Amino acid sequence: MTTGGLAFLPATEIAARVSSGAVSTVDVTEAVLTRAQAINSTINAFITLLPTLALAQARRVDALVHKGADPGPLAGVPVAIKDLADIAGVPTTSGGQAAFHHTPDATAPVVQRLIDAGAVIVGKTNLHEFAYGVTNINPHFGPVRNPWDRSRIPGGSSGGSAAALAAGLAAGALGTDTGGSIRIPAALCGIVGLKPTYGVVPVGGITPLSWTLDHAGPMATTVRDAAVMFAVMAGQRQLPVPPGDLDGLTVGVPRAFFWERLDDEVASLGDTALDALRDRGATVRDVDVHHADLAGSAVAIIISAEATSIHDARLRLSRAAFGDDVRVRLERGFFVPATDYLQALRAREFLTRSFETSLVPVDALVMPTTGAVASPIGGEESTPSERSLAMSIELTRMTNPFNLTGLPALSVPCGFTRDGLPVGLQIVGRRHDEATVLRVGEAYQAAAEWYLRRPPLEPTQPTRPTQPPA
Amino acid sequence: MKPDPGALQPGETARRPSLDTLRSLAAAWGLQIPDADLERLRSEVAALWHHAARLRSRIPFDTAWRLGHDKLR
Repeated sequence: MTTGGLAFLPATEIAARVSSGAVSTVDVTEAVLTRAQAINSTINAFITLLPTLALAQARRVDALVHKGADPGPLAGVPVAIKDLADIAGVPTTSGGQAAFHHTPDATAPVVQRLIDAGAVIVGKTNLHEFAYGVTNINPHFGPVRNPWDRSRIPGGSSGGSAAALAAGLAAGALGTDTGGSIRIPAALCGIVGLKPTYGVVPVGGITPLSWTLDHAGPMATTVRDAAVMFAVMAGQRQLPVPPGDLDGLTVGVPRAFFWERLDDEVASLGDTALDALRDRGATVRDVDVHHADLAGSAVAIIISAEATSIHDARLRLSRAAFGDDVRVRLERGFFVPATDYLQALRAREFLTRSFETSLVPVDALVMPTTGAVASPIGGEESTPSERSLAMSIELTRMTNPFNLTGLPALSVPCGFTRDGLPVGLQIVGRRHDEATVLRVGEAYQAAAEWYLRRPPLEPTQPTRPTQPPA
Repeated sequence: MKPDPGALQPGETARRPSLDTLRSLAAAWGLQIPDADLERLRSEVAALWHHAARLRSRIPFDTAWRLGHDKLR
């Protein structure tokens, strides 16, 4: 089997082949590492590749298979870890300056669960500095480049994880999401990302940003892979993600706020996605989410106060060690009065009730993940810091309400613009109802098949169509 | 990108800090932030205070406590 043949296999397919003995984990791992070593310099997705660790883990999985033991639901799956999560003995950079790196003694529980399920950790991925931004223009490790157009951002802050998946450098990845950091890069890189219900996936051993908004979750190339990874990460039994139609299921479309201010092509692809859901049997109806426009205000205050609290000591000792945009965000948090922070926490309870009320008559909400596609990395009219600050507001607008409310939210590929840039569809469910979110995502993915497209990283890649396949 | 819709609405008021205000607060809290950076922070801090003003004017805090504040612990 060629390197290219293994590179884009879904995680569940790799696990099936490894478990059956059709392919060895060492072969899969070597193929992915070889590809990563060849391509990573073009997209800068990884900060650290871990060939020694990965091959040791691969041999362990192969030994289990040879013994006839169950190697786990992620047997032999090459997984990339956002470099915000600890792996024992491997430096965690958090995307920050060297003075802030640490080498942990213990592995983050969520990473350990992946390893225990048979995953092979191939490397640690680049991110926006301390996960506090959406561009992934990192002043210490360089920008991550979007595999679909390397002059553009991948979105962030889990941009390295998303870029690695889109480029076939991993079959699964760990992301974190405080305002959209799994879903935004998933949308902008054309892959799948799930922000689970708040608190379901443990965040211990992951450098925090804002503890009441922080989530960890899976990033993958298919919804089914994300479902398997989610169950492993949450320590739950595998969720049924039945293939098939959506008969009997009602999808809500919150036109106000979530379908406003969209780029024309994003809006058009979103409408086409609604048609696809109808075709799969779902009832699609408009719903109101009262006060949805206030969620971003509460998030801005909460994240500012909590992130500054977390980085207070580092900031006072070494403010010059932070990149410009992150330093501005952190220092503004010093000027949030305690009363404003507490009002924002109280507002969260009120707004969560409003969002949950909107989900009473429907099974899920759908909307574009972002209103715009990936922006250029460079720009003559503003500095990277200025662009970072502006883009955070724009790109998190439709994702951060679900960090505030803690509701599960999935981004799935929803098509491509005429320029070949991916667009994401966000599916939101009731608290702890990841199963429905994944069911809708699976049905949509089966209809649209956008996940089969590959970025133009190799000269042999076919030209991408701009319309859904027939 | 399209215009930010987060503009203040009727009844909303926001404070915009002066450089002197930020300088005084920073000094009181022992922060070493140069004036050039404080000047840059003015718009960011104003935006946060703007967000707080929006919440104060739109969320019915006088009655919202009935939802149960035990979750805020």
